Amino acid sequence: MKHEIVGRPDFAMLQLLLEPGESIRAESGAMVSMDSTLELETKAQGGILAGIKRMIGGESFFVNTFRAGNQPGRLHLAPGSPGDLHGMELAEGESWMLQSGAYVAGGTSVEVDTKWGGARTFFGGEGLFMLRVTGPGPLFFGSYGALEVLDIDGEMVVDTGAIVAFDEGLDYRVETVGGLKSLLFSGEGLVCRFHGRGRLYIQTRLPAPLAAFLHPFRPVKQESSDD
Amino acid sequence: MDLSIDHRPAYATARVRLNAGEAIRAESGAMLAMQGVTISTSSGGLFKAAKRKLFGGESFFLNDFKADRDGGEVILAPQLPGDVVKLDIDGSWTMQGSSFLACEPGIEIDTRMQSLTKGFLSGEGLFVLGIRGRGALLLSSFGAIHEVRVDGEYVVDSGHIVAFDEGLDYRIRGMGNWMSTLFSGEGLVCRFRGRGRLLLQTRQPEAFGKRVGPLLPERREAR
Repeated sequence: MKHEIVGRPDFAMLQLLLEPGESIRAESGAMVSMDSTLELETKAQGGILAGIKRMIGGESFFVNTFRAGNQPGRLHLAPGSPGDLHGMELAEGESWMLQSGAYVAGGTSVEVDTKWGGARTFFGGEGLFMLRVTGPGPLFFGSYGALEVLDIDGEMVVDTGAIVAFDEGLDYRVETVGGLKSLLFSGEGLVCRFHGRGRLYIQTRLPAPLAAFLHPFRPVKQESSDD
Repeated sequence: MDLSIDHRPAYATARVRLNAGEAIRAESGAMLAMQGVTISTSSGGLFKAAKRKLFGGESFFLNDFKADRDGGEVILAPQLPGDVVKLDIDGSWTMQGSSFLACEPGIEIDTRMQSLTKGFLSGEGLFVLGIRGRGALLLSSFGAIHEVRVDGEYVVDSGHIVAFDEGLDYRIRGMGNWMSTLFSGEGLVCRFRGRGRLLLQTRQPEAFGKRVGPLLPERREAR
């Protein structure tokens, strides 16, 4: 399977060339275009429970599998938000943790599992669950904004909302920054402190501040206070 | 201090490497990641902070990131999509509150009041940030940043101003004749005069908000 990422980093799109017999799983709604020779199979992978679990993890209930029959075929995939994409080849048993919503596509041999991120991730405002993906096979994930690669050797503190993907070997815990004054006034909220040695991908913008910026521009519906 | 700006212009970040004892002062909420530094939150003087918050559209608090050892690092990003530029300033600059990202601690940030006519008519509020000192200043923009060297006169839409140096002053003026002023959609503009550097942003947050906001569901507000 050949892949190329075009339109980086602002509006990245994944171009795949599937050889006969090859297939790829993609997040529902991610397809931009494809050769008509490709076959598409949609199902609640692993059954209804697995589908619900996926939804909790920020993925779609249904998973699409694109497969090349007797002929090769081109497939274009893109995530929902403006930003970058990254592709990697996972070795057998290699595991990565993904922020919910970052997953775009993966090989059919890649296992995707929803993982409880720990109660405290909730307070990071990023939902309670993360995705745990395990190789072998190709994996593609996306970001809002550009992707920054951070190779951690020791310790690194990261805004919880900026985390996209990290090596499962990294140890992490969610905590507050600095002293009490920083907790209340720094505007940094909760952070994730990583320990160990491994790679971390962060996104250079967060969707929440954009939403907060747009909020005052929404139309206002006046409501009398006595109803 | 060693600094690189990456991912320009749409989602730019500033990566600041600090040696032991060095520090950078940043807008609250700007930190994406850090290592080998301690964060402390200060108001930079209570009175100044209150003015900044009330009038400059800036947050009350600033964060200082100080390296405990060589090899400290902070990655900073503004909130909205857009560019980041570094200026090595020596003197005085005027800037829009929302464009401040970070500076070296030796630089002073204060709120300056514009004259009444400038403030009200420009639509940018009465106050701007005054930056004074010597060192690195990091600015952010909505859209890309475009620099213009003014020598003489130059006309700019106030919503596109990021910053300008002390060699420049401006007045609020109508655009062209009264027909243009009223109906061109350009309204009142800033007419700069002097000789100096002027940084512009290629998009205006306000215009973007007005474009997208009406497409969002209504928010309820008590009468």
